[in-house]
Amino acid sequence: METVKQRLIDYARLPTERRFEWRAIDLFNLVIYLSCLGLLFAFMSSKSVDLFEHRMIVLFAAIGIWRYSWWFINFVRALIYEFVVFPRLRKEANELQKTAWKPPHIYFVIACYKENKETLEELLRAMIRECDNIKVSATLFLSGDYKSEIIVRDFVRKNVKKGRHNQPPKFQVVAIRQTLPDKRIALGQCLRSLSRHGVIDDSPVILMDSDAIMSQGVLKKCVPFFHLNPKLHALTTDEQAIFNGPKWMSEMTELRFAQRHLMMQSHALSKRVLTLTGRLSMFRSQIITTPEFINRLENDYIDHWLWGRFRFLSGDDKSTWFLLLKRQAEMLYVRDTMVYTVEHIEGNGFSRTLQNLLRWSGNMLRNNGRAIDLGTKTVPPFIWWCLFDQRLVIWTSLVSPIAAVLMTLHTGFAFIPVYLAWLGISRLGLSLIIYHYAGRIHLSFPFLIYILQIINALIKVYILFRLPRQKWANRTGAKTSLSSEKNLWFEHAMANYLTILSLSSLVLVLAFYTGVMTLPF
Amino acid sequence: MSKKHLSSEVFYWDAPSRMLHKRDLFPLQVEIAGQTFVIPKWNMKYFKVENFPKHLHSDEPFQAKLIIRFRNFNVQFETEAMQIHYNANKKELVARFENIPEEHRELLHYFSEALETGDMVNIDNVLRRVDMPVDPPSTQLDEVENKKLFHIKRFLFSTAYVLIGATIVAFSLSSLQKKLTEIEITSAFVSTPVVTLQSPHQGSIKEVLISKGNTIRQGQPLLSLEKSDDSLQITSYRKVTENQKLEVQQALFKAEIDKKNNNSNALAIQQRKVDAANASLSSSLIAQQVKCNAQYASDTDRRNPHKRNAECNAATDKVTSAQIRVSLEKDLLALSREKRSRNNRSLKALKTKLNKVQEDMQSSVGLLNPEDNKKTILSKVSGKVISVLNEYHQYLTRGQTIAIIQPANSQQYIDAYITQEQAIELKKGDKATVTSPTFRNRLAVVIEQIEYTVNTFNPSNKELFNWSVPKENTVKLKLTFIKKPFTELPLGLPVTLKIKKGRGDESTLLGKVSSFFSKKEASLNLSENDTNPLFGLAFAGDISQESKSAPTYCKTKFRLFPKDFTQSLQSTTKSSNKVLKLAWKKHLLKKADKSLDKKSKALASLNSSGITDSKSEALKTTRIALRDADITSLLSLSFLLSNDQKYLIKAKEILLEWAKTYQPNGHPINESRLEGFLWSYDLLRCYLNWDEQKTVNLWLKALQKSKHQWKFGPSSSVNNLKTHQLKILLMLDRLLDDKTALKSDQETLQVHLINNLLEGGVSFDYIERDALHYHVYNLEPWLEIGLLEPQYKESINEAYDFLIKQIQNDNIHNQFSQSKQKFDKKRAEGGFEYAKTGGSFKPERITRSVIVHSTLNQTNLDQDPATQYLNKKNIKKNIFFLARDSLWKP
Repeated sequence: METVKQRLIDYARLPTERRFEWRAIDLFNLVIYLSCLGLLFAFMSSKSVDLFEHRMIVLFAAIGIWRYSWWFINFVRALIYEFVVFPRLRKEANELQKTAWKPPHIYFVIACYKENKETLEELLRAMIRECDNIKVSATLFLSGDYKSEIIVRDFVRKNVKKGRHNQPPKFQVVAIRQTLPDKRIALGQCLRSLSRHGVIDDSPVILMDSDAIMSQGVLKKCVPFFHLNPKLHALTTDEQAIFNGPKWMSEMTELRFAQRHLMMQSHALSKRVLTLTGRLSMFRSQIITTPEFINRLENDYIDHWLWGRFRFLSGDDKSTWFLLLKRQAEMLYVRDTMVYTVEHIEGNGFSRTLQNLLRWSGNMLRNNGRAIDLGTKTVPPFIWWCLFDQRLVIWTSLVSPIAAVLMTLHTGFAFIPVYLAWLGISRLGLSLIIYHYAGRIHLSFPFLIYILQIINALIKVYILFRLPRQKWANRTGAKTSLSSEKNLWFEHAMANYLTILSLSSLVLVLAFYTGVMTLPF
Repeated sequence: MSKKHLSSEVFYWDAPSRMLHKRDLFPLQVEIAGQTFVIPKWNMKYFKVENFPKHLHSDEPFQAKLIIRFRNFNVQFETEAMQIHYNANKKELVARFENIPEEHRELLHYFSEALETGDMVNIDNVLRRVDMPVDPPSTQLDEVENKKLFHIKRFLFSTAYVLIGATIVAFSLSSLQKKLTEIEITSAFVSTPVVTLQSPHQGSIKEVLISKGNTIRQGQPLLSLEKSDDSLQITSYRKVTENQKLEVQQALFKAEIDKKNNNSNALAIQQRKVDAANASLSSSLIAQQVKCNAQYASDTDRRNPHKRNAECNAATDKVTSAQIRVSLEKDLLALSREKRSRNNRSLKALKTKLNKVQEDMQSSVGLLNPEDNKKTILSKVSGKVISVLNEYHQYLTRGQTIAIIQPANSQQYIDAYITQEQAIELKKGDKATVTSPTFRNRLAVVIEQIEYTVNTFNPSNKELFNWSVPKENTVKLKLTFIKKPFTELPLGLPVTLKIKKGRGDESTLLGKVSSFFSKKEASLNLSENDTNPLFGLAFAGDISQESKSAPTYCKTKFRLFPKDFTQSLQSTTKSSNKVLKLAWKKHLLKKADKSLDKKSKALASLNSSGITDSKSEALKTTRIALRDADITSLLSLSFLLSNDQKYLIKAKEILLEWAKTYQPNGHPINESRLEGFLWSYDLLRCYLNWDEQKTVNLWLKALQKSKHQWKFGPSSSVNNLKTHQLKILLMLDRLLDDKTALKSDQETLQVHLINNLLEGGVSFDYIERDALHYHVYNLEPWLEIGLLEPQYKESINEAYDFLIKQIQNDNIHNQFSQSKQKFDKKRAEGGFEYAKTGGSFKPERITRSVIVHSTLNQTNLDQDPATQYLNKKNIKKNIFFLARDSLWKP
């Protein structure tokens, strides 16, 4: 706990933007990595070298070219956004800041559940600091457990000055007591309350997690965009994690956030993003406080051909995103603002990682289908293709490991060095792009990329046919939405069947391609 | 519903001074005594009025009219109220509702609850019902509107997925069945015998007289050729050069002839020189007569006799000198005559050559005939034109292909190129079907020929049809059409061949699967009665009745065993056979069983020869390692006899381990015992897959090479070392099908036989070492050579008889006493018992020789008197030879 406290004290001084840092040890590690690759090539047997001419390598290369050119396109788009588009937006925002303009009011909505006291206090401190920075009054709609309410009350009593001349203070808190253990309901109640409260048009409503801590200047940098672009209805920021747990998890989180930063910038070029992250996203008050929006947020669902209608439990951020995407609302990624999240992991973290991947993949898949259904008239074509690509990548990610196993069975162990060489080069190429955003060279990235690729793909294949299966590990009392009262044997059997069918089809196609099996005609 | 469970309990918390719970935020209005005031705070019991001007009586109720601004109208009712407190400073009145009529209380309660639940909100001091329903939160979703549609959709999707799954399963099973039961060959092409016509001349094509598809007859013009200026120039230049060359030759010959003619003049000169010498002699004689004869002496001479004597002596000297000269000149004359005779012969030859050159010059002039500028090339065969050059004015060089003709009456066939593994599954006469996208029907073909190439592969007509064949497809199949196709197929057309692997029950998938399992079982516990060797472990999958033995092409190809050895193997398995009162088969298998647990002791090099210390570690290691060779031959034979794959697996394992480990150096003695591997390979070759065969072949090739490079000394070139070397070489030559090397080694053997086996069957080694041990050690390889080269049987038998005679005569003592090799003495000192000077030869040492002699002469071993010298222990040691002997004889 001491460590956590120490870290909390430093929050205000944490960087507000990503900066790349050269370190000698990182370069040395990179040289070691390249030397290992060189040795692998140098000592490769002639049989292995001959396998580079196998047509499986052609497939690898074809998929590789496709996948890596896709990454490259996104990288180029990200660079355009970083160096051309966003600086222009930032300049306009800065100029607006110089005028007397300021938003009428700011609304924070937080659904909090058994949050750590230090984190919650740090969140409030950052919130109050940011409001003071722009000199705008704010109201926090807090839905939380009783203990959280006490923490907030005590903190506000101590740190918020009383309003003068019978005026309300600059920072008010409206607490909404949670009556159901469901984040969506909590958020819905907050938004209902906000709506009843009489929300001012064009005010920013900030939905955030109780462990998200704003860095210096987040509000100042973000709120002008709503005024500058009336079509803009939501924006989100960059993220980084303050990690208190296993190193590999910390590096994995860094990798994910770096990938996210790259992709978000690329997507933002099309005035949309693929997620309005629940950690911190800002919304224009109009749409988010409409009854339809709140209703759907509280009880979001899809109709599935196998499972029927089922309710979403987690993924409220995906729901808000979808509801805005459906309304063709513009979205923005504010690349130069940073929100920190405090992750405190006990134990080895495997289970937590797996649960997170399950949750993220499930949320993605549950929303991806209906977003694709919106079509290119509603969704910008590039974004639509990104959504479609999210489905394709599940299978392309599995091609190389399955093919490697088949090739090893077919041609012997000579294929293993070839595959390792392929992985070594291709994943390093990808990592080099990501290093630019991760801030430093992590030697673990090539390995983590590959491991995450396989695990993610397998999880997605599993979830694809079990969309109602939802859990969240960072909340106690994890549950699924599938009622045990229902007799769902057919659905479960069908889901198992479809999982086996899809995977075996992929294996078969590759087996025919590699020559492990021959076509019957 | 209690307040605790209200869905949205709103409370302000905006400042510590304020009340924690503050509900009912809507400001009511109240009309008291005709004046309207605002009630900012109220609940169902109390209310507070702002800006109230005066104090009221505390114990006296007053009339108040409550006004609720609801939507765009006011809801109002009258009630009584009682002042509780009045703050004159703030002008605040706090009062309590008194006697509210029930209907009005309900109304107030209705609004109060609506505010609590959030159903209504205060907007600009007007109470409004919010647009959204503020039901208690619920996670229950609305039911699907059209359940029937959902069920239909689910049924359709499920059915579709099940059908897709069934299709995939069927597809996979079909593919699996095909893999198990059918060989698909894609490297197959329509082919035909073709004749390639090449240009006998060079020049530009003037006219092509045939086209592709034409049927032509023999002698028909194919194309006319016009020799180009360049070509003529070249020809002319070449001829001029040729003529110049001839002219030079002519001049040289003429000069030579002149020289020769000049030589005949030399003879006349010499004759004249002889004549001159004779004349000089005559004059000298006369002078001598005058000077020495007294009757010709003058008075002066008489007065001076000394002077006259001196003159006489001088004249005599002159005569002698003249005689020598005459003799010399005569010799020279004789020499000149002989030279002239030779000269005449060479002159004749020179003249012949000169005539030839002159003739050539004449013929060369004749070639420059301008008529040669045009040529018509005629067809040498009748048939159909498959391909022809059709580029006019194309320059054609001599020997360039101008047309490819399919000879008349030739039949089309299919050429297929397959791997060794695939070839194992097939045999001549197997039927197949041919398919191609270019023709609709499947055509039936039959395998007519299977060509097993060893290392190199060269598809026929490759250039013509630009065929691409994988390099591992080294076996060529020729398949003929059972029924001639209706139309002629395009030559070189790639086709797909499908050949069923098995027959009978096993051609079905079920049969295959059951056969697969039964095979697995069989490999685990095959009884001795099992007579079906499972062929080719490496090619598991086909164990049809006909292929249970080695493939036909392998059966007759034992190189080191007689042709009918396979038949012997098969018939022996059905009968029990006892030789020398020893159930050899039982013992063979027993010994083989014992070997199964042993691991290969393969070494990279062997070292036993020349070692004088019997306790040498190197010697010990080598001897232990070489047991592997004996074990492998035993295991191989055991496998063929018992059909139990465990022997095959072990034998292959050891053989391949040695092939991969041992580096041959060609030493005749160290490597002599490797013979066990050679027998083993010969017996198991058909059961090794292509890669394994390749490994062993390469090893044997290296062994053969090193042996050919081995340099023998003066003694070793005639003693047992050479015999051992030749034994292995003759075996290797046969195993590797190396006819050239075999011929050469057979020639060497012929010489060695003369040098090594002397008259009376005495071996060179016996004389050199004065020991029967070495006679036997030399005889053993000779007997093996005899099995391969029976023409030397007589000499070998003589050596064997010598041995037996020595034993019979008890001439086995005092061995090595006259040995010329110091090495024997050193060995004796080093603890080698056999080499002890003056020691005795142990007759049981001849066990192998006796058995192999019997094999060589096809005699009954039981009746061989020499068997009296054998004992059971030694026979068991030589069980392989005993088994081979039994199987060798018809």
